[in-house]
Amino acid sequence: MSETVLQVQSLTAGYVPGLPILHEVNMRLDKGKIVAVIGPNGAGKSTLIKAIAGLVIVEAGTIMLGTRNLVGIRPDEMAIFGIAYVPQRDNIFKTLTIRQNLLLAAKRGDGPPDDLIERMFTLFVPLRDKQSEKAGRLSGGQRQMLAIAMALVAEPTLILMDEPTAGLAPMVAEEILALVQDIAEKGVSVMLIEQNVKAALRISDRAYILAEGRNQIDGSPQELMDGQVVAEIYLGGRRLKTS
Amino acid sequence: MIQNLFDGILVGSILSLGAIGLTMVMHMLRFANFSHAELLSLGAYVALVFDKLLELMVPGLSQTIGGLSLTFSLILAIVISMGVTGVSAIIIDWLVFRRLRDSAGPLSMVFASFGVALIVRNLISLVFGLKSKLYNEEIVFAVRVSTDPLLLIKLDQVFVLGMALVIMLIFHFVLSRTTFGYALKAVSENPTLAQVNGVRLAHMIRLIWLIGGGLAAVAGVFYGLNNQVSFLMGKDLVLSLFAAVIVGGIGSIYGAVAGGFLVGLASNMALLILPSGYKPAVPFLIILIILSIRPMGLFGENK
Repeated sequence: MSETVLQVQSLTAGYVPGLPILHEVNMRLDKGKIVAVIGPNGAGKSTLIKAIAGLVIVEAGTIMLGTRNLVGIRPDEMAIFGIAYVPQRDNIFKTLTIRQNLLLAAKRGDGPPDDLIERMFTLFVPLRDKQSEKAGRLSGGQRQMLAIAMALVAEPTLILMDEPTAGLAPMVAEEILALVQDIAEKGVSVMLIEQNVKAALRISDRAYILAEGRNQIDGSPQELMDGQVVAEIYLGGRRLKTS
Repeated sequence: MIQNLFDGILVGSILSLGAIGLTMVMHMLRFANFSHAELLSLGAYVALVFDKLLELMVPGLSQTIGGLSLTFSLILAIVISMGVTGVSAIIIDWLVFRRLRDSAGPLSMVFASFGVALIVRNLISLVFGLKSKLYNEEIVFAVRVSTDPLLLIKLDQVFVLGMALVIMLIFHFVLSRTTFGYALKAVSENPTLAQVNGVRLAHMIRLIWLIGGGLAAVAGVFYGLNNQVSFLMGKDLVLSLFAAVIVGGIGSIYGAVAGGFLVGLASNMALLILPSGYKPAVPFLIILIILSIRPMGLFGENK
């Protein structure tokens, strides 16, 4: 049986106290696996990832990383527990150079920052050539690459990715998704929020569908596709669970 | 004209030091802090107190340095004042602004800053009196550098200008070469992303107050050396500091430096064509001109 890295149980969370966006959400992520969280706009996918990253108010439930409950832990402490978060937008510091971005992120990791950064340059070769350039000058795909490198540089055990392919050209998006698979193959667990449902199901080991801040259904990508649940929910033919 | 130019550069260097802290606070904490200029007054008076204390405790420190009116005790007092003013800024934040940050809007913070400014200013006048003070009572004569055009410079002014530039260079080094500098820029640009990259926001806010307060203290002492130490210093300088920050682009430290020099220079050069009574209007004129050309300020970024 796979080792469970992250277990979210009955999570109720939101941006304003008393007005939760997520209602008793459950999910599980195993070591070295990719879990996709999909759902229509406003389903609470980003809120879920932010709740795990310590960025929104958790009103009830638990977020267990192994035996440790992450509820109440500050976002800047997440790295101590081996968690990295790649936000959907504004995920790099545009006014810093590429190297400075990585240096800042590498401070979270163990070991000399220069060595950690060098490993990232081996993995993301285009970034090495542009390391002295301001990150704001990078293309959309290269920005995502840098954002993922910033998450990986501290050698996390769990990466939370919020729509890493949003706004990218299809070919670049494919490259990013292939990269996500590589990351998981190296033993890092990935929680992936993705608008492109087909792509998300193709690369993930398990998927959770959220709507209106609640779990709708979950299972292996094959189960979800065979049951045509995805199509029904996205076409609006299926009645959503609202309580 | 050359005299106005020199005076403008000197005043500009002092304004730049004060404006650095103001722009950091305005950008990171998202409010116009009208009490920042009072930190200059506070710093000037704290240095005055420690200067006298050190002179009493170690009489040898009361010797002047070279041809300057500055004493060794005042140099030490400036360093102490930087720390005391920086810590005072943290305490003011803890007592007032921190409480409002989470529960009230930016406008409440602005009004609170007016209140803090009035309290600090009046406390200073209560403790030290309404009469202006000098760091050194002895008359210091200016050196005639040039007769035509006439240029008179005091050695103290050269020291002030030199030290202001050195402090700005050190700050530039910290910003551009250290991880702390990157973290400072990162927090200014995107506090949430900075947090998830391991930067502790509360810690950075304290450091920004400490640095801003420390630089304000130096600016206050330098202003006092060039003029007099008065409880009205903050009131006199607040608009020029805001002009420097706005002209330079809110959030840009280099913009604050450029804005400080621009406001200082323009205010002094304007005296060539305007009666001195119009001098306080010059910073506003600069704001209007620069913002009509670049609404985000000289070094500000498009939002």
